[in-house]
Amino acid sequence: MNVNRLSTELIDRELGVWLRDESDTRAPAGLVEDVFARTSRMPQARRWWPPVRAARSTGARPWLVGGRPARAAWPRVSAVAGITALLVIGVVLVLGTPRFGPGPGATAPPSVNPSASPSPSLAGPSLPPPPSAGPTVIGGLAAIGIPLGTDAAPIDVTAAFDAIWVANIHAGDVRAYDGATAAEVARIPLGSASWFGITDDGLWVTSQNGTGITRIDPVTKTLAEHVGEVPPCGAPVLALGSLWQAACDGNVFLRIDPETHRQLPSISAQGHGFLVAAGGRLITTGTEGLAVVDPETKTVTSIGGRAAQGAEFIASDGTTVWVKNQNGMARLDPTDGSVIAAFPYLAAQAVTFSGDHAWMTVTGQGVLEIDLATNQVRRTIPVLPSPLVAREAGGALWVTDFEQSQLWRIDL
Amino acid sequence: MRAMAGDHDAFAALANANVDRMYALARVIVRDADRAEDATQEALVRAWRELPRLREPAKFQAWLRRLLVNACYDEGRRIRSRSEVVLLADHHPSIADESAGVIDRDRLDRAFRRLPLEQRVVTVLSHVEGLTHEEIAETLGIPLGTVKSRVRYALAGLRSALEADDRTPAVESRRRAGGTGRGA
Repeated sequence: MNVNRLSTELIDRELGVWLRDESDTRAPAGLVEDVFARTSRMPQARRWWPPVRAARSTGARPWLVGGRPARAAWPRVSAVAGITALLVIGVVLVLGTPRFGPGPGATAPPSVNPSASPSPSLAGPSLPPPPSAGPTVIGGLAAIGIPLGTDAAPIDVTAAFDAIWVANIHAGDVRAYDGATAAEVARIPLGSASWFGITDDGLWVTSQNGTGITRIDPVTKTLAEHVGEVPPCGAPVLALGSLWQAACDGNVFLRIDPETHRQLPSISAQGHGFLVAAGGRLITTGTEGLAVVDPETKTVTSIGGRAAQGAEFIASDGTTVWVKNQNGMARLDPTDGSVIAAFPYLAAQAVTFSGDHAWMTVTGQGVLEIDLATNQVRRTIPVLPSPLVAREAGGALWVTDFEQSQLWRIDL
Repeated sequence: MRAMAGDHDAFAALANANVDRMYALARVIVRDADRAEDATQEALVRAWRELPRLREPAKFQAWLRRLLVNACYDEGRRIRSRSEVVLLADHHPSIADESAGVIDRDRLDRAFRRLPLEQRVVTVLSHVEGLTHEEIAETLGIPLGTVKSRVRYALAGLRSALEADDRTPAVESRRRAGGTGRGA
């Protein structure tokens, strides 16, 4: 039987059976005993917020909002803890009163080493609440943390129609914020929201957990048209007179008339994935690397570029294509797929562009500003722990934190 | 809860209750018994250290799974940093038993080993743990779209590897023979 005759479904099914059989095994004897021996004198990590008794001793019980009471077995509250709490109160009072109760270290994010090697380890254990909400300072810049609520899970953030828009995939809504005050001005429920596209008269948002793409009327801030009945993947792209949306599961590229808001005939994706516009062409990714989509002939022609194989996301600064895969981020020439620059950040999450620079988010490191002329990192703003999308608008950098359900405004 | 408060015996009981499942997962992800043992042990040690920071005890299993996956990533990185080469098992030219309609498991194994660790992880969490794509995204702390793309690329990669395996000349099969092992 030749493999070419095997369907993807069959491969998937056989893989499942094989993996389940392979996992039918037991741990070697003594493994837990080894762990027990290693941990017998190993202290446990401290919480990032103060234990109850320390807070009580300072009269700062409201701080425990978002925290939880300490247990009797918690390491004894020492004088050092009390002094630390007092010092933190002082710092908080000097720098401004937060809207939510931060614990020690709240006025500055956890320290990071900007030169630390990129790590593929996306995230560690479940983390406590963000160390700061409300006014704070990040990397020497004034910032405001905006909690979005438990499990909101924000993905994209964009600036359009005099507002900042955030798509929350788990909360299933789009929220609009006043860029100056960071106050929420609208909340639009739509089931699932992930990535934005902007046209003259609409903010389009994909429903990654559902199907298609929905236009939000930016004037009334209400839902308008919904287009497409297949699950989308990646962000919508305005190019060549149409709004395009890749739909990987449906193996098609959706095409929408941005004026009538109606769906036009789709183009077969021919096994390709995400879309982006670069150099006046519509570019996609596939197993062979980059490919160009021709709407006239409805063909997808390979460009090549090994650095684009296995793409997890793509973006464009208008002329070049940025691709993240298992080897990190690469900046490619869309004419031949050649690598212009490589950024070995295995935990890179997204990249956006503004003027002469790019903003790349990297889990565990923060937001990196990259000079588009030299491809050098100008600075790292330690937005931690899990920045997803950073978008510059109105003199500020807006950053979503997917895991912590947080939106940041950082004054540049 | 007692383990979170520093009760070492309670932690040992937790570890005993979960170690087989953790090891089994690590074994299929890293495809090596020794490294699976190392990853499991490392994940449990981290669990002990980080337990007080676990905010939602109800999500302990998902949290532990995530620690294990991260430990597997670390094992993979350690391999790469040593320029280590995983030698493949003996080559069998026939990929499928036509009568049974199933893919030969040795070839499936070889194809699976060629997948990037990130793609192996999502397929294992899906097939072995029975997690939905949404649950995998939550477990790994990555967007749903990334999970879907990794699943898709994993299947495409498997197909490519199986096709490549189908075309592998006999001389390579001899070169690669000798079972699974570690390089320098």
